[in-house]
Amino acid sequence: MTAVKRIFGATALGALTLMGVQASAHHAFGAEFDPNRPLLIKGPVVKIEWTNPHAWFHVEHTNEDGSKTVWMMEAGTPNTLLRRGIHRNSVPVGTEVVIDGYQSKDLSNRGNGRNMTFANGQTLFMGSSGTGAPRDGADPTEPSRPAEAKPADEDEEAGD
Amino acid sequence: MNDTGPYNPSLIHDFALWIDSHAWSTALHESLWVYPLVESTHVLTLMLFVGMLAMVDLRMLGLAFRHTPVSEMTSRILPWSVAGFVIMVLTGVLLFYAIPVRTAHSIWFRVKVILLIVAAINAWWFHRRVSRDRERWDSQPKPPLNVRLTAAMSLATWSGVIIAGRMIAYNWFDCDRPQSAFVTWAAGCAVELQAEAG
Repeated sequence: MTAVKRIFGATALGALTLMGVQASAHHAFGAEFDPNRPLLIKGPVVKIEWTNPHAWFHVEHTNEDGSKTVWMMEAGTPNTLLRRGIHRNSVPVGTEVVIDGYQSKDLSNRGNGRNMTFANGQTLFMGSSGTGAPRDGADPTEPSRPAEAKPADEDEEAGD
Repeated sequence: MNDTGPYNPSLIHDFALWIDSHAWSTALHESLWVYPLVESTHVLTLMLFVGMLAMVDLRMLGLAFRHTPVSEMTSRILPWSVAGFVIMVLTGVLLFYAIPVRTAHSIWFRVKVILLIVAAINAWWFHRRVSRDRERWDSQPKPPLNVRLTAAMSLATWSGVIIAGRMIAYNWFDCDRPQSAFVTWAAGCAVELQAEAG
């Protein structure tokens, strides 16, 4: 009987550990991205890096003055995106998308993607869950919060 | 930049590029299941390895299991530790294999490798010198100073390895961002940026 108990204990411990690992597979949002710098990037996808631990969508955005800037938008893992319904050939280069997200703290042309919206109106949550990103309602697994919630709350979420 | 200092960054860069040219490296980097499994296994087995090792270290520091002979601790615990170590190293190599260029130019990864070398020298020193007269202190609740020092060194270096390894995930000191002269030198950024520009 003790052996059974021991195995059960080990399994429970293993499950808890795995949950911890899953959370730490993503880096904390606050370390690299600024919740106070929201982005809205519109334009054709020019390149996709289908890589671990994060996929990157390169989108050519047309600025107000007509110039073009390529933004690199971070997404979840290839596995996460597959489970949400897209694979490496779902978004061919040239697809027009709208990505909202948050700019990186170093103010480079890089951001953390939240929702990707396609021309037909379909929306995909492209980001990662449990990273401490603002609760803007993009992540369906996370209860959204009223906009007036104080921004300081976002830091306590740092998932690792 | 011709003055490359005490190490040759372009040699490391070329090695990373060579790995990067392997189809299997790309496949692992882009894999749906294998990369996350390898990464999780790396973390789980490092817990097994360092967790078990920490128990032996705490015993040798005289802080835990003070009335259990050290030899009994090592004979019962170390096989687990060795198993964890082997899988941890294999999965660690695979993680590097998947993302060779960025990792080779990561200052955290470089700190980690240095700490791994220090940990290895410490372990070698322990087996070579410190453990020679183990019969004398095997049952002492608080072993002599040189034993405690090696145990403390082991705990410190492996803690450092884990912290540095965890930090590899963050891009603060990546070469594709503006960096201080020190980081540019220590991470071999000049070589990477030069290669990208050329």
